[in-house]
Amino acid sequence: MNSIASNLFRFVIFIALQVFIFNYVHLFGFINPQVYILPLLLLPLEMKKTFQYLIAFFTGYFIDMFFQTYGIHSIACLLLIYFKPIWVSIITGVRSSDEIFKPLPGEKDFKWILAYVGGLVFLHQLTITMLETFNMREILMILWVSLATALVTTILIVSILYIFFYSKK
Amino acid sequence: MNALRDFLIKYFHVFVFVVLLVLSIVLMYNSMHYQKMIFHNATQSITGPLNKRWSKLLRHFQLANENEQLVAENLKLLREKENMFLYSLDTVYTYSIKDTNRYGKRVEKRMYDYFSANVVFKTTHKKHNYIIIDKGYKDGVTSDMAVLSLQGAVVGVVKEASANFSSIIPLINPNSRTSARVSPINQIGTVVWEDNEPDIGNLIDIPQHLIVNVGDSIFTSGFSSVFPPNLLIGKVVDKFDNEKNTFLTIKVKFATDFRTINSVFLIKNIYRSEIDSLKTSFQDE
Repeated sequence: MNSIASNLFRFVIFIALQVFIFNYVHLFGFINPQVYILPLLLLPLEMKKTFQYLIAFFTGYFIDMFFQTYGIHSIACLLLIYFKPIWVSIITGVRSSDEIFKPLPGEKDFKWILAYVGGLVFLHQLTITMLETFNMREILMILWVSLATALVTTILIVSILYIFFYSKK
Repeated sequence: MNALRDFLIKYFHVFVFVVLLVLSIVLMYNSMHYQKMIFHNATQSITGPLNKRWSKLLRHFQLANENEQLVAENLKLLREKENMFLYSLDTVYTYSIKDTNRYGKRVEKRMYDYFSANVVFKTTHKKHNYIIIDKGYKDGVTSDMAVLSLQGAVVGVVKEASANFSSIIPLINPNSRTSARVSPINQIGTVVWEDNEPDIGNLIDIPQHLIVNVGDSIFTSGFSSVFPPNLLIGKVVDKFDNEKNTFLTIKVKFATDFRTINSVFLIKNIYRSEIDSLKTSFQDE
């Protein structure tokens, strides 16, 4: 019960942060960090897939409401949740089933966290930029914008993880 | 039967994923009709009032800067009042006009009127940028009104007005096309936005044999019923010959800084409905 409440609180906080602060950040005019996906990254893998998809969809939908880009963030969040277990098994190697999934600093080393956050953030950002531009002739521009934005977002999310979510064993 | 039930339970999440994905794509497809759908949502939905409150708070941070600009602009307006607000013409219909007739047959009457509004929400770094302001048709905003910055430079055109909010297509939107005049040679072209940079636009339809210099000013032409003539759009920053066609490629730096814009002036054309009704009578033929 407690974990559900704290999870919900986390979503509200990060959507508010995104809408009221990070939407107003435009580094160099085109980098707009998407920090709101942090709670999605922290969702436990053992949770029922159905709930995970519903949560991802509604998170994206709320952000879309403020960006006026209906569907784009929803698709990006859904894909993020879909690829999350695949990405985890890729970077962890063979996954031992008895280990509880906790992508937190303290539980995992810095390299693992960086790979986990960086890969998924880049996927998310690439989806958003591609759908927003909707023009494959500008593929180099899309790649460049996604890469730069994903870099900034990754730095922000990893910093937030280390500052506020450090778990003591 | 049990096997079927087990199968459904096991793969229910795949079913949910596909349904949600299709739902997202349908939402996105609908919002692709940019002009119709997005502006409607932006002005009607619950996010309008919330954004309004928040932008009110954010506006405080730039109040000092804004005040200086307002004072400068007020001075300018006072100085230019005579020739900018009034429309003068030589006419023989003097008997039908109530204004004072000081210079014999030269009659002055008001054609354009100004009022101001605050920006509620804006985008500057997207493919299709837009601005939402806090005045709607209750305050007299109608579609196709011209929008100026506090410095008197062109911002864009009102797209749609709801009761309390209105949406603006700024110059930095691919759908924006503004009839423009290059200053010294008085050639008429069109300002469009193609580069996805928030301060650079393109001036097209200028033939290659004409001489355009870097630093030339670009004004509105006054040929549309939206913009009054001689409003500043921007300056030429770069120009080069295009291999493919006979027109010059001219880069324009907008006089408006869309990143810091917080308040705007709206221009009302008092005789707009009259002019438009004359135009439609030609379209019917």
